Order: sequence, then structure tokens, then C-alpha cells
Amino acid sequence: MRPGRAVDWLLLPAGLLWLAGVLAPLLFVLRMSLYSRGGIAGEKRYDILFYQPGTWSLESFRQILAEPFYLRMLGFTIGLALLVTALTLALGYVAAYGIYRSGPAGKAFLLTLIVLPKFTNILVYVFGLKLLLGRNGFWPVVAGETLFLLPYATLTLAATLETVPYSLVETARGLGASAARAFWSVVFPLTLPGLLAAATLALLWSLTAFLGPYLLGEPRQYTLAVEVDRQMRQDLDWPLAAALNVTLMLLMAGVASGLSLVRRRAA
Amino acid sequence: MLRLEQVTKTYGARPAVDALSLEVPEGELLAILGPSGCGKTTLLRILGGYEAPDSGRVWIAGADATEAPPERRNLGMVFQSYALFPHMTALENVEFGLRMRGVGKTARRERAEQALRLTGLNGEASRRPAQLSGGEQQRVAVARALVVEPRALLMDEPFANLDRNVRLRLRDELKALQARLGLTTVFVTHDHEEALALADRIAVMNHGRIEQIAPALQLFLQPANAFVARFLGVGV
Repeated sequence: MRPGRAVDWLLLPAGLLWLAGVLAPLLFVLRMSLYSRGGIAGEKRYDILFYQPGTWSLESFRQILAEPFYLRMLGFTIGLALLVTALTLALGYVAAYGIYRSGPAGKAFLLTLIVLPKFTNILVYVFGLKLLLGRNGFWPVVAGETLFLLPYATLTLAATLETVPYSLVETARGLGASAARAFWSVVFPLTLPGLLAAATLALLWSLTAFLGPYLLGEPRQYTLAVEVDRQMRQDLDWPLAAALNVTLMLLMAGVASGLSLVRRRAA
Repeated sequence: MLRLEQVTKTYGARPAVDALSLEVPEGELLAILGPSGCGKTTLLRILGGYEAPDSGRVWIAGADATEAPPERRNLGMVFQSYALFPHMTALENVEFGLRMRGVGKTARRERAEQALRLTGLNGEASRRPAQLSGGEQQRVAVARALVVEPRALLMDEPFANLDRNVRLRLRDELKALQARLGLTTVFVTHDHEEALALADRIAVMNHGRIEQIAPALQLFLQPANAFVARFLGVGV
């Protein structure tokens, strides 16, 4: 018996909790997304057994892929996520660099400043932003989502920058590099892993953007996550909501595995 | 070749370098020797342009370089940590300065390989810094500093992170290399044995000032004051 075996058994409660708390609901979501509404038209009751013949169908997915409304929404969700991620990374890098180059006192101050918004309840935060940003629309949504994500990206990037000794920059300067060239040829390549981690975080998070579009946007800016909520609670079309959710999850799985492939390639 | 004129640099209340003047003639190997916190590293950083003096002037090869950033000074610098670029191979590290100067690819490679051989490296060119021993890393750092043909070489505690055996060997090699190239060199150390073994002249520093600057023998025979005598281990 190898020494790790006892430890493996100690993982059992956590494993069971994970199975019951995460995997089981996901399976139900998956099952719901494959539900056929045809048999019980008009009734919209989904309190049915997990497996029941005659209730399986791809119709919800077919609807998503066939209706321009959903395709446009899918495109908007992806586009918004890409734009928010790009802005988050750019602003986060600048903020992280400021932290990197500050003295101990400045570092503590800036870090507190970055984390402070997270001390607020997110709804209160969004309503505060609403006052600040004025009328609902595309840019308030982008600004709101970027501001949610900025602290996470900044902290990730600041942690990566701390691993780059400043003497590397000074050495590059001493060897004839301008400040800009020293940055692009030394600091930037060394922070790529952190940038990739922050990009993963920001992309996955912004793909599920809900509060920003819902509270700061107009219906044109609604994302898949908002539509999931609408189908669940207003239209009571759970199969469609589940199918939208599964679509979103597939998208995220694609993004996550794509980025981890890049990471492995780079390593 | 290098000249400091009444240079002062203050951190907080205490001056790290206090109205200090110093002249290093062409081809000299000068050691700056002193206890930790005496301002010797700050002095070196001011020479290299990594720190701006509060007052005073810095002259390099007869020109006022006080305002010049490091990339305009053309001085080789070897940091205590060697500061090798971890994402580049040994060869790419050495090529860096040439790349910044726009030297073409083939010429660059040739000169970098030559510099590596000069410092005693042959088969390690394609390795990353993490795969090199401390001594090899130091050789790469020296080759990287020398390949751009700097006007002078600055070194901050270049032997501090090495085992004794390696340290002694690299010390002798560096001395021979410096003599062969006739390169003006300033290095900082807290180890008086190292200063004695290497330097043409030794500047003994304390509290931001140079207490005495003289060849080793003269320091021993005629220490300027009690601090110099004590620091060199001569009983008073």
C-alpha cells in the first residue's frame, strides 16, 4: 500500500460533495436542455423523471441555432466578452505596473484601492455605477463589466510582475535598450503566463456577464446569461434556458481548453 | 575615464553618497571597499546612470554624462544577481546588447560566441540561465557586458554569490581578462581580501565618503585614519 492511499480516502467526503453539489445539477441541466416540449404543449411542467422515453429532443438547440435572435445574442455575448477582456487586460496591466514600480507604502495603498470596490455588495456597486455612467447603453455595459473584472486581472498581473526583478530592466537599459524596448523585450515576455491567466479569468467571467448587461444595458445589450434568466423566470421555458446555458458552457469549455493549449505550447 | 565631482545622493535624512569626488584613469581596476550601508552600491549605480545624484557631476570619457540614461553611457554592468534574462539562452543574453545596437544576425552571433569563449564558456551557449551553475551564470553576465565593447565595466559584488573555489578561480580569470583588454573597471566589494587580490587601487568608503584611495600596499603601510586601519584588519 503506497503512503498516499489513506489520504485518498480522506478526499472522499469532498469528492461526494462535489458530485452531489456540482456534477448532479449539471447533469440535470444537460438533461433539461434535451427535453422535448412537444408532448406536454402549453403545460410547461418539467417535474418529470430524469429518464423518460419520448421526452428527448434537440429542439431547443435547433431553435437557438435557427433563430437570428439567438444567433445575434450569441455573437454579441462573444464580442462583448472579447472587448471587455481586452480592456481589462490593458488597464489591469497599466495598474499592475504602477503597483510594481511603487515603494512599499504606495504598493499597499494602491492594492487597497484596487480591492476596495469588492468590499461593496455587487448590486450596490452596479447602482453606484449607474448613477455615474448615466443612461443605459452599450458603453455603460462595457465599463461596468470591465470594472468588475479589473481587480482580479490587476492582482494576477501584479503578482506576476513581482517575479521579474527590476535589475533585469536596468541591465537591458545598460546594454543600450530604451525604456520602451527594455519593457517589450524583457518585462513583457516574462509576464506572458500571468497575462494568459488573467485573460482566461476575464474571458470566462465576461462570457457569463449578467448584472452589467441586465442593469446597465438596454435589451439590445442582453447576453445569453440574461436570456437564460428571462426564459427561466418569465417565459418558464426551462428546456430552452437549459439549452442556452449548455451553449454558453460549451463556449466556455472551448475557450478554456484553447487557452490552456496555448499555455502548454508556451511552456 | 570616469570622474565623479562632488556627488551627493540622499535617501531620507542620511546621505548615501556625501559630496564625493573620484577619478578613475583609463585601464585601471578600482575596488570600492566598505562595510554594508556605506554607499558603495549607490556610488556604482550613479556611475551607471541607474540613480540620479542630487547634486554634483558625472564625467565619462571627458564628457558630462550626469543627465545621460544608462543606455546612452555605454558602460558594462554586472549586477550581484547577474540579472540574466531567464527567457533567453546564454547566447541570446550575450547577443542582447548587440541586437539593441542593430548589429546584423550573423555578426551578432559570431561576436557573442567569441565573447562567451573569452569568458571560458563553450558548450553552454544554448542553455537557459536556470540550467547554468553560479559560476557559469557569472561568466555569461561578464560576456554580455563585454561584448558591446563598453568604455568601462562596473561590477556590484560580482563574486558574492559563488563558492569559494569558484570565486578564487573566476577572480584570477577576471583579473587576467581585464589586464588583457586594458578595460577600465570599477567593482564594489565588502571583502578586503578580494579587493587586495584584484585591484590596482582601493577606495575605502565609510558613511558616503571615501576615507582613503590608494594602492593596496600603501593602505596597509600608511592608513589615513583609524577606520581604514581597522577595516583592513591592521591593529591600531
